[in-house]
Amino acid sequence: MSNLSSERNVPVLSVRDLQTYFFPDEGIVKAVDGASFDLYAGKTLGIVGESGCGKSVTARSILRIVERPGKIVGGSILLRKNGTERELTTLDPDGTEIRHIRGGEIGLVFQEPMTSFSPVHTIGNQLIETIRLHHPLGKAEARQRGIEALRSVGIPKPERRIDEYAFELSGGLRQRAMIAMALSCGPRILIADEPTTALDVTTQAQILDLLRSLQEREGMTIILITHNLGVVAEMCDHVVVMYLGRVVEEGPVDAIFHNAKHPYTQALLRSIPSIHATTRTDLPTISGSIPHPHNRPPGCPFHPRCPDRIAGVCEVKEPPLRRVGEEQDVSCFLYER
Amino acid sequence: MSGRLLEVKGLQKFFPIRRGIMQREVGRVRAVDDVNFYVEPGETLSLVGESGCGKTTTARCILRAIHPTAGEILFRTGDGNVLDVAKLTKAQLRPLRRQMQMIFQDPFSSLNPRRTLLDIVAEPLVANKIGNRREQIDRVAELLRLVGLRPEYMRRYPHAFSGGQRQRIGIARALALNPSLVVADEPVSALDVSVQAQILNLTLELQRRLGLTYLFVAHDLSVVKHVSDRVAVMYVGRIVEMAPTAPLFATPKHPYTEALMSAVPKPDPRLRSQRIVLEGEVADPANPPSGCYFHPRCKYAVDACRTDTPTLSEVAPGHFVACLRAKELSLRGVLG
Repeated sequence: MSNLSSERNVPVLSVRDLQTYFFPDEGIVKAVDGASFDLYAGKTLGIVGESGCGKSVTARSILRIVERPGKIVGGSILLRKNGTERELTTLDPDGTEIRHIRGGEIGLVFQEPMTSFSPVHTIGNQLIETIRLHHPLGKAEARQRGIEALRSVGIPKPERRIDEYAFELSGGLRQRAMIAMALSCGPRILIADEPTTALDVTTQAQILDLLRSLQEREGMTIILITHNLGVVAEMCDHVVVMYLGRVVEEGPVDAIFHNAKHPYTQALLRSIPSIHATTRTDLPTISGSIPHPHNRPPGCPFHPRCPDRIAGVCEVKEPPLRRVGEEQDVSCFLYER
Repeated sequence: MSGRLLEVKGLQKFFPIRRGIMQREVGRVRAVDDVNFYVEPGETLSLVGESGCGKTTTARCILRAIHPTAGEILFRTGDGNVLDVAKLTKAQLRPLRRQMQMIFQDPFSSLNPRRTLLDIVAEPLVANKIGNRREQIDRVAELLRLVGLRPEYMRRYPHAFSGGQRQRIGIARALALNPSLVVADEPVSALDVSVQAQILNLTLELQRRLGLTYLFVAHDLSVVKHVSDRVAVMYVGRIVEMAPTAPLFATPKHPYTEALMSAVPKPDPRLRSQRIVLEGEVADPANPPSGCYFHPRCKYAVDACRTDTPTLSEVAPGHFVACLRAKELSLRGVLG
C-alpha cells in the first residue's frame, strides 16, 4: 500500500529546464526557454498562453517531433513507468524507442482535425495502420479494434464510419475520430493540442465531456494545451502559464484563477470578456502586444508590458521560478525577498 | 420602418447543390431562411450562432456581397430616404456602399501585403475620388490616429504589424468614408485574448465618438455580451431568439439559447458547471428536419414541435422568440 502511494507521488513525466530553439537564417528563436513542470498520473495538466508562448513546441518536444530548424538544446524530459525512467531528449527522433512511445505511450490530438487526417485514405485505413504499427494483429482484428475505438469515443455507426473519408465527417466527429486514433494503442498519456479551438461551443462541450469521461474510465493522464482560459478552468487540475517560451507561473487550477501572482496571469484573467460581466464596459487590457520572437526583450520577457515592473531590475535579470504557495510557483521579482 | 437604420424582412438565401455532368440542380442549401430583424441607429446588434447557421451569409446579403434569393433589406441613407438594397442594381448600389462598410475576421488575409498602410487605408477614398492626394494623406493620418496607430507608420507594409495592429488598420479602412453602418464579421476571433480586449474597447470607443451603428457577427457569447445592445441568436438559417442583451442572457426563452450559453466554458474553476450537452449535430440546412429545426436536439420538445413550425413572436417588450413552448418554459440564463 505504501508502495502504491509513493508511486502516486512520483510524476509520470517530468520536464526540467527544457530549451527548444529554432535556428532559421535570421537568427535564433528561443521558442521554449527553460520550461519545467511535472505531470501526475490520472490528472489533467493545462499549458496555457497566447500565440508564440511555446506551448505547442513544448508538446512537440516531448514527442520529439519538433520540425527543422528546431532543436532541443538543453534540459531533460523524463518518462517514468514501473519505477524505470527514460530520458526522451537523448533518444534518436527516428529511432524505434521513441516510435514505440509515440502513440503507444503518449498519444497526441492536434488542433485541426481536417489537416491531420490524410484526405486520400479512409479513417479506417489510417486507424488500422496505427494499430498494426504497435500491435501484432491481423487486418481483420485490427479493423475490429478500430471499430471499438471509434465506438468508445461516441461515434455513431462506427462499422460504417470506419470506411469513410475525413471530409465526410463533421468537425465534431472528425475530432472524435482523431481522439480515437490517438487512443487506439492504449497510451497512458494524452497530449491534446488545442483540441476544441476549431469547434463550435456546443461541439466543444461534447468533446470536453468525452475527454473527461475517458479520463474517469481509463485513468488517463492528459496534457491540455489551450489559449482558452474557460476550457482550462473547466478541465484542468494543475495549470502552467507560459509567456514567450518561459513558464511564468504554475499551480493548482484554483490558485491560478483565484490567487494569481504573476502580473501577466492577473492581466490575462482580467482581459477576458466574461459572460457574467456587465455589458458595454471597457475591458482592462494589457498594453502593447506580444513581441516578435526575434526581438525578445532582455530580462523578464513580460517587463515592457508589465504594470508592476521594477525599474533597474526587471529589464536586467531573468527571474527564476520560485515557490510562493502550496504547489504554486511564480517567476517574478515582486516575490523575491 | 420609423427611425430604424436597417430593417430586414423575410430574407432568404438559397445555394443550389449541383450534381452530375449536366450540373443539374438536385437540392438547395437553405443558408438563410426567412430572417427578420431591425437595427436602430447608434446601436449594436449581434448575430450569434454556430458555424453554418447563416450569420455570415445574412451579413453578406445586407452588404450585397452576395445576391439574396428573396426578401427586403431596407436601409435608411444619409439623406433620409429608405431604399431596398436587395432590389438595387450594381450602379445604384455604388453610392450606398460608402455608407455600409465591413471589418473582416482575419487581419492576415484581408490586407494586401504588397501595399502600404497609406494605399490600403486611402483605397476607399481613391475609389470614390474623394479629395486630392494631399487631403487623402491627411485623412489617412487622422484615421490612423483614431484607431490608435502612429501616422508615421503609413509608409510601412502590413507584415511589420502584429495581428491586433492589422485589425486596427482594417478598422481604419472601414471608417475612411464615414459609414453609418459597420458590419463586423468575427472581428476578434483570430486574435489573442490580451489583444482581443484592446480591439473590443476600440470598437466601443469609436461607436461613442462617431455614433456608429454596428452589425456584429460572432460566435463567442462572452464577446457578444460585452459589445451588444441587442442580440439575435440564429440556428440553421433562422433567428430563434432576439432580445436586448441583459434579458437575453438573464432569461433566455429558447432552449437553444439556453444550451448555447451553458456550453460556454466559464473562466472560473469554482463554477464547473452542470453544462447542458446537446445530443447530436447541427441540422443540415440542405435537408432540415420538419417542424422546429431544433426539435431533434431539444430536451423540451413535444409532439407538436415535430410538425408545427414556430414563428418569431414577441413574448416581452422587444423580446422575440420562435418556440412553441416559449410561454411555459422556464429556462436557465447566466447570472450577473
